[in-house]
Amino acid sequence: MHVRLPSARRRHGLRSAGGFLLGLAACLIAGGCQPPADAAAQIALEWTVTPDPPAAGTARFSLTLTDTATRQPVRGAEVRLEGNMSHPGMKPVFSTAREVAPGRYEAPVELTMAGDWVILVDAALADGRSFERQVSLPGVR
Amino acid sequence: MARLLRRFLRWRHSRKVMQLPLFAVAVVMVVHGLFGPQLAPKNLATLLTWVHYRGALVLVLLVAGNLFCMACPFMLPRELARRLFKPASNWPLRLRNKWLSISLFVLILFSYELFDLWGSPWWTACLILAYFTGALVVDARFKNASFCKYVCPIGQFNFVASTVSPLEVKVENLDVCTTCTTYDCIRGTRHPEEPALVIKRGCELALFQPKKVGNMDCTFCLDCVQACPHDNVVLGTRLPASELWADPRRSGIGVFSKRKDLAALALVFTFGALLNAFGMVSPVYAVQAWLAGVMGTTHEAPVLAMLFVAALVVEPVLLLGLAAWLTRRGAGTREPLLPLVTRFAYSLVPLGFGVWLAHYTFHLLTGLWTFVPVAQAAVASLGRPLLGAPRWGLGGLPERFVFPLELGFLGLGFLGSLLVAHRIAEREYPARAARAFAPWAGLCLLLTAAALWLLSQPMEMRGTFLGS
Repeated sequence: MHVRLPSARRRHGLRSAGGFLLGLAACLIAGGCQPPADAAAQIALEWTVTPDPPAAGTARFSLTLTDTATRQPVRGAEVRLEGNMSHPGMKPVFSTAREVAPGRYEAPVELTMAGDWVILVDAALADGRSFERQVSLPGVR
Repeated sequence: MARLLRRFLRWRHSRKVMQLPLFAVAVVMVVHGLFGPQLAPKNLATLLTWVHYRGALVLVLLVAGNLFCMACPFMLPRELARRLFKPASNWPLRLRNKWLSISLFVLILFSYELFDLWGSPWWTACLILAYFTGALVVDARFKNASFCKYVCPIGQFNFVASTVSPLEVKVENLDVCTTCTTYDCIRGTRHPEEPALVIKRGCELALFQPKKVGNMDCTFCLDCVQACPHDNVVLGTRLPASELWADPRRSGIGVFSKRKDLAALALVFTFGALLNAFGMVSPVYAVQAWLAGVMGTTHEAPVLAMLFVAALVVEPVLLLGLAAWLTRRGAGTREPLLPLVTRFAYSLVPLGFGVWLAHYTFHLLTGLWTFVPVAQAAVASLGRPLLGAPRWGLGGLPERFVFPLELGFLGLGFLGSLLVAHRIAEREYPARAARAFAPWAGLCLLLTAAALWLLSQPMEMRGTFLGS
């Protein structure tokens, strides 16, 4: 079983600092920072994939969304998955998830090549909030 | 058409006209790399650098020549800076060779693997900026085209690859040069009343046209074309790779067979092609895991360093040493092995270029149209989708169509290497050419078989180390 808690992008320290400063500069130039428009901080995502370890071909993702404030499953969301390889030059693959149990969503994703994949999870919640998360899926064979 | 092209190339702003679009694209790539989405397939910095630029570069080198150096955007800020700062120093004598640029070339290949440069828009943008800065700093301090000739790793790649290109900047009629008294092609066109004042630059890479042979060290900058008062320097055709088997004294370079640094560059170019392709297929993980076990480490850097030493030092030394030893026996000579290796090393360039071509055109052709949705998304992110909604369904050619092309490039490289090795053997050992040639033919066959094996492996878009 392959379980990942809310994903955190691992960045090199220097890159983070540099990126932050440049991002800050861009915000200031643009006239001020915008508040976050999504509900990423309030939603916990757990996910599994089968087969595990993942292989090229159809992989089935199971996603569980939980509201961290109420600890209740997030029902009725529209969840879309987009798979990209870490290397540029491959077109992305898309899939829409189906809610199979309260707060649990499943989606097949066609992993077209072995290598490292990044899955973008994009959810429109029933209460109007949106949620986006990036999970990495390295070592697809 | 040819006349129009000739007039365009002689126009003093022709290079700038070619540089400006690439400069604009480079600026867009840097901005998108620093501020755009940090997912490599969705960022113009990573996509255009590692997929489109590299693929287009090798294809243009194959069908034309060193046109990317001709339109090099890194030279544009340098030209502007030179209006403010007049470089005062000469490039140090000890560095007037290719060793520094070979080291930088290897460093780029190493960093590419270690830091997953293809997967990081931010680092890719930084790399582009580093190139601009490097060209600016080196050429603001040192006279002539020191950055191009002695530093730029991309330039060295282009110099070596363009030895198999069909186009060359060359003299149209040598008789005209014999009567020339100005030597503007190398000295530059001088002001008639102030001879110290250069109106049009001559060759900054020290290539005197009448004595120039081939494309090595030629950036196709057109300075000589525009400086020649007799309109006698042209962009002409020639037999690809023919400069690899000739061994005359070349202006600005010397004799190939005495340039160990150039021979080393040719070998790094060839074995680097195999190593770079090896990083894309699954067996690399098994080798890395085995090496990590032997070395007792889980850190990538030492394992990768060992892999690089094996591929770029141990393997060439063993294989070329053996081929040279067999040639010495076959030709019945007693000469040392190193000069023999130096002479024959250039024969591997076509094969190395074939591997680079096969690898980079794979990425270019399978991801040919992916820049369209990424550009559409980049414009849309500014607030107005002027280019329309991103068409993420656009990809490229299926692998089954690209694979035969890869085989064709590899076959072409193999045949080219055989031809060059045979001509070198004929030149060096006319009485025993076949015996001298046989070991190098065997080496070409071995390397081609290795490349074929690599191409037939399931391609993996790399990035994983030790399965983590």
